[in-house]
Parts: sequence; structure tokens; C-alpha cells
Amino acid sequence: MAIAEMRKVTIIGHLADRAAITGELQRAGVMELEPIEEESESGPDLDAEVNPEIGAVEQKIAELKFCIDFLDKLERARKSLIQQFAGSKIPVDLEEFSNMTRDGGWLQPVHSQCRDYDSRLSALRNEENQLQNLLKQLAGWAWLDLPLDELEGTRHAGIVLGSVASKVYDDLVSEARSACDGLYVEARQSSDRRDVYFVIIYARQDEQALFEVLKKYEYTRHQFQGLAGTPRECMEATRLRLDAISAEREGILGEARKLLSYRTQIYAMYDSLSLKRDRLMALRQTVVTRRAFALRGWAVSDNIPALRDSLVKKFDSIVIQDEPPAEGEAAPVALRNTSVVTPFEAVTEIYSMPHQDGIDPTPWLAPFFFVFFGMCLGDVGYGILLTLLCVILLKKIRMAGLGKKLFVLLAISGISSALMGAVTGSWFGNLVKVEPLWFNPLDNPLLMLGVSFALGLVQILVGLGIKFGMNVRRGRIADAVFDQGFWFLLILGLTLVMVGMQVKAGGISTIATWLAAIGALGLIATQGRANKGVIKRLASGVLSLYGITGYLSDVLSYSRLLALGLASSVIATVIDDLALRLTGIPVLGWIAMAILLIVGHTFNLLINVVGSYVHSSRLQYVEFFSKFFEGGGRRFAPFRVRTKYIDLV
Amino acid sequence: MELTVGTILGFLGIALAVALPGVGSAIGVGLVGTAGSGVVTEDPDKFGQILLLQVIPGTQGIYGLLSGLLLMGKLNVFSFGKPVLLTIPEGALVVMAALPIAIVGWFSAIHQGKVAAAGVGVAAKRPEELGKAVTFAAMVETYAVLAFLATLLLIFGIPIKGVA
Repeated sequence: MAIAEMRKVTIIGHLADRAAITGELQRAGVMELEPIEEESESGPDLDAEVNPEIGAVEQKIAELKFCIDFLDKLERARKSLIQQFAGSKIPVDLEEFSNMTRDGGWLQPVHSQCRDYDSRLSALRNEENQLQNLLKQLAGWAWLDLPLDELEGTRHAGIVLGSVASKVYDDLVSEARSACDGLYVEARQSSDRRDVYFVIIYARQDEQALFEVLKKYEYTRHQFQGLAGTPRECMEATRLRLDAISAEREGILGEARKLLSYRTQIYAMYDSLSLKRDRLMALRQTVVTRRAFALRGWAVSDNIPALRDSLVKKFDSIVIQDEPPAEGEAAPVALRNTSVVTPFEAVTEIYSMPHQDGIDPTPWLAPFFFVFFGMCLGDVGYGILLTLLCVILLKKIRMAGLGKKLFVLLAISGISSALMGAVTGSWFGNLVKVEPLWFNPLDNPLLMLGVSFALGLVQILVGLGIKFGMNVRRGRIADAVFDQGFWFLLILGLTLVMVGMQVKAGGISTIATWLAAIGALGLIATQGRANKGVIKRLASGVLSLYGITGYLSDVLSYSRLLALGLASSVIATVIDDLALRLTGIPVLGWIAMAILLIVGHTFNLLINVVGSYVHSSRLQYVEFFSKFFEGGGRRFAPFRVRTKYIDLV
Repeated sequence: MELTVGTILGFLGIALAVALPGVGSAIGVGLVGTAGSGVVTEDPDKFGQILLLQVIPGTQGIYGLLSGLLLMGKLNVFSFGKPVLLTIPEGALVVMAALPIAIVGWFSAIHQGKVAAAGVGVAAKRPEELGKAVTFAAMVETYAVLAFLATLLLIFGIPIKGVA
């Protein structure tokens, strides 16, 4: 019920069994491999054998990836929003999987077909772009009744095609005419009236003068190389070619779609080869002698007996040793909790894995997270809806790891919301009018604020208590009493003083004042203990009392529970009010009401689930963890069957 | 029916509470959306995760609307055409009550948008660490929540008798 006990496992076996044993370890998936530091003495250099094999496998994986990407572009594998979060894999049973991946003969032709289609498609795309640009260029010249291949001019006369901004065209022509004699000019405005397209025929001796004028007005020269016929004919031909291109593309796409039937097989092959690569990588972590090999790694101690049994049964003369981690050795961290608490590991894992020597905060934060989420969402209808949604999704989509934990967590949180909604009398806002079991926070927000602060205080005190326990366990009794014990007394005392002032019970106040005083004096006396000299010690002891502001702001932070709770229930109420007003209109009003209710409540639910989750987590991370949590552990990542597309069932 | 200056002030308060955080949220959500589109072009499957980041700076607008709605209830706006006639001090109190969420909502939404937009990079490169990016953005929200809380308590505390 906390951090799982890790042990270091060493396996020694026959060299001949090396590949088989790593395969078995991958199937078992309970051991994280680690390279062995010691130099092997005289073994053969097997890496030289393994490395090229890894290269070959990776080459094939890259080819498959190309096919997968190509087919994805052809027809996107549809994924729902939820699947984008939770991941979606194709379920395939083990036998079918090995049938699909046994013979890889199809891979080469399929891959070269994909390559071929891809390059043909991109060639077509390039040509299409060029033609479309040409079409745009030609569009301004439709009026020109000259074949474009006869625009070379003669020995004495030149011809130039160009365009210029409409507003300067007249100036250009008059200046050109004054610079050169006997110009022949024909022009048309473009369809958007921004430019004028012109043809000028000029005498060769005027060429330089004319082009100087043209340049001055920043004209654009239009040249059509390799085109025959009038612009109109060229456009016609271009359009025909474009039609042909799209027909050709359809043809290629049609051919390519036939490859879609290979898709699952490609996925399976990809995963199968990735698994093989993982196994080969694992081989590199072993050390070998001429006859034997050794392999080392970490495993959770509960899993070791089963692993030992299965290996010993399959391989003779195999030696499996396990030992606790050496002093100061960084063992990976895995969390182990009861099934009710396990989903809450998601909250911890998103923050950080606890340090190997620290403690797992999950069982401690679970009840607080449960209550906080409920207070933030706080509605019977929303709670039930959230739980139902999550349960359905968990049934429909096979999830694993963090994603699964998260959805189970939300399902549990939905129950909490429903309970809290019953307490505050919120049933889809006030759609269903039910008296609250306790009180409605809208009627008495200050009481709810008090409840939020009280929960915050409890959580902070629990946090101090956990750190107290950690220090005691490590034999640092003095630290535990001085750093946590006195704060605990001071905070508890001050709180009780305030409570005492409210309820005016003298007895409480006296005891509370004494508690606070002991705590404060204790802190003054001990918080400066790292310093030398009485005065310095006392000074930093007094200064440490300033830390009370930190605790104060921590407690105030829990006021968000009230704010978020009101946000979700008031908006729900407003949606109800607006919707019920619509029922005044006959028939249509009822339909509009139903639509407004469904859309409004769905929106409100989604927004508030995000808010409730985030803020309930934040209270754990910032206000709770800061009291005791030691993070930075390395997540236990066992060598296992890890696939990307296929879910092996 | 004669309107009072107090009622006009009251309506100003409602307008501020709804409008300013709404502007902030629009800017914040816009920032994340612009950053997110780039990622979705590369990998359309990231849409869900980026949408999650994008809604985060949207909450300020909701807090503003919610404050506005509560004020409308207080001023009896929902009984069409017959709002409570406020005295000038009462109207001024409504404006004051609206100010915390109006100001803090406005600015925090923009800054939260910036943090969430930076988180888009996390969604693109390390999608498994998305929770951390969301948490960073949620840190900014704290102040919007606190301001919203102050506005709420102020609204509950406004004594309204109206013009007799």
C-alpha cells in the first residue's frame, strides 16, 4: 500500500537460450532491464552480430511507417475525441497476430507500390500547380488573337507583352510614344480592373528607350515559352490537361485504395517488428562468456516468484538471483495500492513519481480529492451523468495505464459529485426540486466557505502529520517534533482560538491559547537551531513565525471549493430558468426547451469537469504535497510487449 | 416609470462584470487556438488535447457571466421591464462588487491564455506530460477564482432596499 518493494534480479543462463529467455521476459513484462557495468572477460563480441540485425529491422520499420502514413493520407483512420485521449488500438488475438506477421513476403511489393503511387501523385500535384499558375497568367490575355509562338518579332520590329497598374498606364503610353516613333499599342484592362495588359510592337532601334520607360513604370513582362496557339487555345489545352490530371489521380487513388486491405496487416507487422527490435535492444544489455550470458534488472518483489517459476520450468540450468537495492542505488518506483485507491494514482503520477525512499501520497490524497471534486461539481444529475459516461467509455474502449486510471477516477468522482449534490440540493441545478440534505450554499455561502477552510485545515494538518511520521521513521525525532509538531500545535491552537471566539466557550479558548503558545514558543526556541549563538538562534526562531502567512494563504486557497461549486450549480440553475421560460410558447417552446437543456447542461458539465479535476489536483500539488512530498522517483518501466497499433488480446 | 441613476449604475456594474472577463477570455482562448492550429496541421489527432488547453482560459468569461447573472437576479432584471430602482449608493455598491472579477478576470484570462499556448508545445512534443501543462495554466486561474469569490461575497452582501 504504497511504493512497491523493488529487488534487483540477475539471470544467468546458457548462451543458446539467450534470445528465448529475453522473449519470455518480454511476454512476462515484469522486469526492467539494466545494462551490466562489469566488463565481460572473454566472450564473443555478440554486439557485432546484433547491431546489423537491429539496423535491418529498423529499416523495415521505417518502410512500414511510410506505408502507414501514405495510407493514412489516403483515408484517415477515424478517431473520436475520446479515442484521441485514450488511444485506440485494433484488437487482434495472438494467433491471428502471429499468422499475419509470419510471412513478410508481401511487405516489399506493398512498400514499393506505396512509394510508386506517392511519387506519381506528387508529380501530378506539381504539374497541376504549374498549370494552374499558367492558367492564371493566361487569363488576362484571352482577348489577344495572336499565336503565342509567333511573338518573336522580326529583324526590324520587336514585340513585347506586359502588364502594369491601371492608374499609371496612360502615363506610360504617352511617355513611351514620345520616346519612340510609330509604336503600335493594344491593351485591355484585367477583369479586376487593377492592371492593364498590353502588347507593344516597336521598331528595333527604339528597343532600349522603350524598355527604359517600361521599367520606370515597373511593368511585368509576360513571356510564354513553349506554348503554341492563341492564348484562348492554350487555356483550352491547359484545362484539358488539368482534367486529364485529375482523372489520372483518381485512377492512381483507386489503385492505391486496394492497398487499404493490407492496413491491419501493416499495423501488425509494424508492431511485430517493433517488438523484435525491443528484444534485440535487450540483448545488447546482456554480458556473455563463451557458454553463458547474464542479464540484470529490476522487478517488484511480489512478481519475482511467478517469474522464477515460469523461467525455471521452460529452461534448464538457469540461475535467478534477487537482492535488495544497494545503499544509495536508484531503484525505479512503482506504486502499489488497493483497487479503490489505484485510480487516484493518476493524480500522483501526473505530478511526479515519489522518490524511492519517500512515501506514496496516493492513499492520503484519495479521500480529499474525492470530496473536493464532489464539492466543485456538486450536482446529482451531473455526477450520475459523468459516472455513466465514464463507465460506458471504459466498456467500449479498451484502455490501459494512465488513461484507464484517469477515467476510473472520473467515474468515482462522479459518485462524489452526486453525493455532494444531494447534500446541497442541486439536481441538474434546480430542475428537479429536492430539499438539500444539509443546506444550499447559495442561501448560506459563508457556511460553505467555512466548510472549505475547515477541509483545507484538516488536509494541511494531515500533511504535517505525514511528514512527522516520515521523520520519526528515519530516526529524526527532533526534526519531527520541532519542524512539524510545533507547527501542528500552533495552527491547531490558533484555529481553536478562532472557533472559541465564535462559539464563546471559554474552556476551548483557554486550552487553545495554551496550545498555540506552546507551539509558538517551541518554534521560537527551535527554528534557529542551525545557527550559532543564542541571539542569532532566537532571532531566526522569531522570524520563522512569519511562516504562518504561508499556512494562512494555503488555507485561503481552499475557498476555490466554494467558488467552483457555486459556478457549476448556479449556471445549471440559470440554464433551467431560461429553458423553463420557453415553455410559454406552445409546442415549439417545449422543443426549444429540450434543446436548450441538453446543450446547456452538456456544455456546463464538460467545462466544470475540467475545472473540478484541475483544481482538485492543484490543491493536492500545491497545498498538500508541499508539506511532505518528495518527488523525482524514476518510473518503473518494465521490458514488456509494447505495441502502437495492435492490442493483443 | 422613472429610472434612477442608481439603477443605471447597477446595470453598468453588470455590464462590466460580463464584458471585461469576456474580452479577456476571448483573447486568451484565441491565443491558444492560434498556437494549436499549427500543431493540428501536423497531427490532427492532437485536436482533443489542444481543445482541453484551449478551454482553460475560457472560464473567466463564465465567472463574469455568472456574476452578471447573480446581479441581474438581485436587481430583478428577469421580471422584464421592472428592475428594482436603486439609490445611487446602492448602484455604486453593485459596480464595486463587479470590479474584482471584471479586472482580474480580464487580465488573468489573457495571461492564462499565454501559459496555455505555451503548453501547446508540450502537447505536441510530450503529450504524456499534458497534465503538467494544464496545471501550469490552472495556477493563473487561482486569482480569477479568488476575485470571483470576492465578487460573489460582495454580491451576497449588498443591502438593497430600493427607492421607496
